[in-house]
Order: sequence, then structure tokens, then C-alpha cells
Amino acid sequence: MSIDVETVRALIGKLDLLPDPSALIADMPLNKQGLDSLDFVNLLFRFEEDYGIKLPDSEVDGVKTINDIVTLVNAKLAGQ
Amino acid sequence: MLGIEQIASYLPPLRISNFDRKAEFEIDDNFIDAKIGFRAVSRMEADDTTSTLCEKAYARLEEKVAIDRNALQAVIVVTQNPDANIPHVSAILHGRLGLPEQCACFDISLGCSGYVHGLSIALSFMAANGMSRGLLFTADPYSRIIDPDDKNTALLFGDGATVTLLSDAPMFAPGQFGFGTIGQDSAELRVRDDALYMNGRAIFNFAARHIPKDIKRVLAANSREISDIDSFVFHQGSRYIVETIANALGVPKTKVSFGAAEYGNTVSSSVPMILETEMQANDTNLILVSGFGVGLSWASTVLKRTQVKS
Repeated sequence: MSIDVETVRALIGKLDLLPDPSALIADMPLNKQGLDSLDFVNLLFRFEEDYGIKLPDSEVDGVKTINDIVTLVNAKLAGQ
Repeated sequence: MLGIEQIASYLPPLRISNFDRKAEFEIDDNFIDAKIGFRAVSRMEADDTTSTLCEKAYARLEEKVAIDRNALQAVIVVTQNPDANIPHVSAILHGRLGLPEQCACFDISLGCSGYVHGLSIALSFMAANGMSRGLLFTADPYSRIIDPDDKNTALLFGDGATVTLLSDAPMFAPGQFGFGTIGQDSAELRVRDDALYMNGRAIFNFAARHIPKDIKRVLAANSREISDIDSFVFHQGSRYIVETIANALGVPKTKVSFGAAEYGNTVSSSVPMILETEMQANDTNLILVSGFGVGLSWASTVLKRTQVKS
């Protein structure tokens, strides 16, 4: 199992975190595209819950973009 | 039957506006209003203590209901910020209020889940010992332990106190309770080097993961559905967490209170402060209350109206 950029955009849309997820740029920090810190925490939480993975703070610290999320989540899924 | 006869709250008049700290913490109006939800946080006076906040709440209670102090048989205070380690705050209050010698006094060390835990402990204690009138206080002035430069806590916590009159003539009585603790994560919300430390992400994950499940269990234990409940009173940790839990449960927004916008998260006082208002509506018959936080712990129950407010 793995996720891609569209998976992240779809979850942002499902959670109604931003008005137009399809317009999000994958390699731009999400906080520069309108996602605040609480929404970002919520987004990561939903990945943990939906995919049964744990995303430790130490590995989340550098995660800023959709691409970062895809890389981190896929690494966790590959390790299961 | 023992239960809640009346609740009174005290909020100190001093406020710190979160709008005045936007530049310092790099936040905007939307983040304050729509996300954390606290436009200001309340601060006690310099000469206030946990016990004086409780006294002021008690004065409000006596304005609402006639109380024979000589008939009080138990005084219980929920706090993790007592005036001093020794003695317990309830004993200090006992002396200041001039209560009878045969009145039992003890404190409960819990944070945001403390009021709901305290209801169960106090009512069980009173029932086991044949008591009919007692006081359950909450007061946790976090301003004493907050680093004012810490964005994770300085914008959230307010000072305040409540007192609940528990008696055999209740307006509301609890049904089955649910409790829980995730002790392995207790360090995510603690005092470190004399200041409050909070891992906001860990606390959000804890609440979003465990509280909706607990509430479903408590509803089932009380043979109730979400649609049966007239009002949901969740711990006012932030607007975001209240709405996250409500959304996870599918609770209509009209049934969920967020009333702490002008004073902040008052820890163990947050649930009774909202409950004080919610229980006044005569068409509100079932109220679900849920507190969660330090521990990391939670407690929930369903309160059922036993008499119409006169």
C-alpha cells in the first residue's frame, strides 16, 4: 500500500481544511498555501488513523509539503 | 438520589487579549476566532490564590441558593495548583467558611478531566457515608505556571473557579460514567522546570483518538443515542478540539457549546462553567459532559434532569 499527492489532496478536501485542494502545489510548504498549524496536525492525525501508522514528532518536524507527507507516510507503510 | 443542585462560577475580571499578541506569535484573527477560539484569557489578581478563587465562587453560590453552612458534610476541591503542598485547599476553605467539625474535606489531583471524575468521587463518597449536602470545587489557576512567552500555552489557559452544590434535591443526576488514562503519554502535558509544558500535537491526537470512542461507550452504557442528548458539554480545550470531537461523533453544532471565548481554557472549571448555563434551560433534559487532559486522562457521563428549575 502507498499514497500519492492526490491522496493528500483528497484528504485535505474530505476534512474541508482548504477550499480548493486540487490547486495545492506539492512541493510548496502547506503553511504558505493557507493550512495553519492546527489543520496540519489534524491532517497528520488522520493519516495515522486511516493507515494504522505512527508519525513520531521527531520525524514530523521537517515535514512541510505534500511531497514531504507522501514520503513520510509511504516510508511508514513500507516498514509495516 | 444525590446529584447536582446548583453550580456557581467565578471569573476574575482581568483579561489578556490574544489579539494584542498576534504579531508576537505570528497568528491572525481567523486563527484566534476560528481555531483556538479564545479571544482573551482571564487572569486572577496578584493577591488571589486557589482558595480565594474558590471562596469567590462560593460567594456566588450563596447569591443563587440559600445554604445552611452547618449542614454541609463534605468539601472537595479539584486542583493541581493548591495554595501550598500542605495543607489541602479544602481544609483552608473549611476554616474560612466556618464549616462544622463533622465536615469531611479532601482534594483531588486532576486537571481537565477533574470535574467529571470529581462528580463520581464526591457523590459516591457522600452516598457511602449517608451524606446529603456537599460542595465540589474546581480551581486551577494556570497563570501561576504558564510561561507567558510560550505560544502553546499562553494563548489558551484562563483562571477561574466553580463550586457545585451536591445534594439529595438535585436538578441533574449522573448516570453511568466512563473513565480512562493513557499514562505512557502523561509527560506530554506536565510541569517542567516550574513551567507548564504542553505538546499540542500529542494532546490533540489523544483527544481526537480517545474521546469520541469513550463518549460512544458512555452513551451505550446509559442506553442513549447521540440524538437523545440535548446538550454536549466538552472540555473547552480549544474551539478546534471541541469541533473535532463533535464532528467525529456527528453531533449537530446547535447541540455543542463553546462558551469560553472570552476567558479561555479554565482546566477543571471548564465543564462546570458551561454546565452552569446549560442546566438552566428547562427543555434540556439530558446533558453529556466530558473532560479530558492531564494524565492523559478522561471522564464522561450523562446527566439527567430530575426536576424542572423553579
